[in-house]
Amino acid sequence: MARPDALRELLQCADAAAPPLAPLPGDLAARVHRRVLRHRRLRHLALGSLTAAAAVVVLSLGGLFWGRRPPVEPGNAPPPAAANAANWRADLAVLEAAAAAHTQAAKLITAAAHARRVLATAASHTRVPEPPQRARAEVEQAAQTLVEHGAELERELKSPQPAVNVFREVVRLFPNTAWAAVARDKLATIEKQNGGAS
Amino acid sequence: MTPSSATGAGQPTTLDDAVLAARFARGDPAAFPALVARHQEQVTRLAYRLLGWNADIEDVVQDVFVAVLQSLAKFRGESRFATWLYRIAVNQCRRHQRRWLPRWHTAPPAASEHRSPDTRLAADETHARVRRVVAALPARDREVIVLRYLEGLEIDEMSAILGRGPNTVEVRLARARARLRADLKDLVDD
Repeated sequence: MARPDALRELLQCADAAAPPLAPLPGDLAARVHRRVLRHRRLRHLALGSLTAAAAVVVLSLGGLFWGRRPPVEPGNAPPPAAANAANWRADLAVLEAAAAAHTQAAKLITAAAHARRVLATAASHTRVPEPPQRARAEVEQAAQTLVEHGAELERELKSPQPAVNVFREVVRLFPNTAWAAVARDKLATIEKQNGGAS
Repeated sequence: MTPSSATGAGQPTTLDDAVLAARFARGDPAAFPALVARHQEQVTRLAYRLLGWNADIEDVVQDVFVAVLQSLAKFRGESRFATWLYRIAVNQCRRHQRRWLPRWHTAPPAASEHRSPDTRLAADETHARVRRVVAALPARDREVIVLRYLEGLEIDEMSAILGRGPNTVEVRLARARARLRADLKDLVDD
């Protein structure tokens, strides 16, 4: 009969013996931000193209519908010369409506193509890795948020331990930032106060 | 961090995650990098295990945090942040496997493999074989095995992550365990 935890032990040993993973890039959050921005741009682009196509279809159908000649009732038939003039005017109106629809459609297609070009250029720019300063600034900002949060905990709670945990985490996660130095100072101050109190 | 245990930061971590998520929802952009820095190691490890210890997981981890960023503003704290994050990670791993199924599929090795005379080599071979067997399990069976035995989660937490009732999760776990025992008979039945 198998030992109850033999399978668990075997799995945990196999997992521990797995090859170590290469560390992920330090600016993962910045990369994720860039990907989300790119997705949004592509979605807007797709939506714009779809809207333009729908507008073209609607305008073309509208041109066909409004350009139709009204049926002539037998009792109200105009005399031949007047009928010809009326027919020409109707034909002219149809042509004008069709021309207007086509002009509008061409404008929309041109605008959509222009927008697509602009967005493609913007997307290609976003593929270029941003300067490290930006990633650095984001890391600093994240560290700042945690330090501020730790300071809030220190102010609001009677026990300093939750704040100490947060400051230690800042030092652990963002060791090379200016805010890590602030967190170290805070830790030293708390330690001194606790030492003085005890 | 697993949903049931805190990181080295200690007890306030769960509270802090919720606070950071709330800050992000209020428009503080620095909250997201802080959450990523806290959890990227755990998400990476989970994805590594769920995808059969395949080292090529950077895309999956990015997908997980893209999904987190897109829905973080909607996080209401109804479940713990870590549970919510694990659910997203499991779903992204499933999606990735569906997309790359032939690449990820690994056939289980035969039970009688030749052993090296060197003990350490033999142990390495055994561990590699165990990983291959786990990687060859159906995705749903592998998920319960990884969450239960490698992430150390309780049935209730697994149930919340997988979106299934506790009884279903237990049945699935028993089935997955039986499969593993059958495939690793020579190693488990001592």
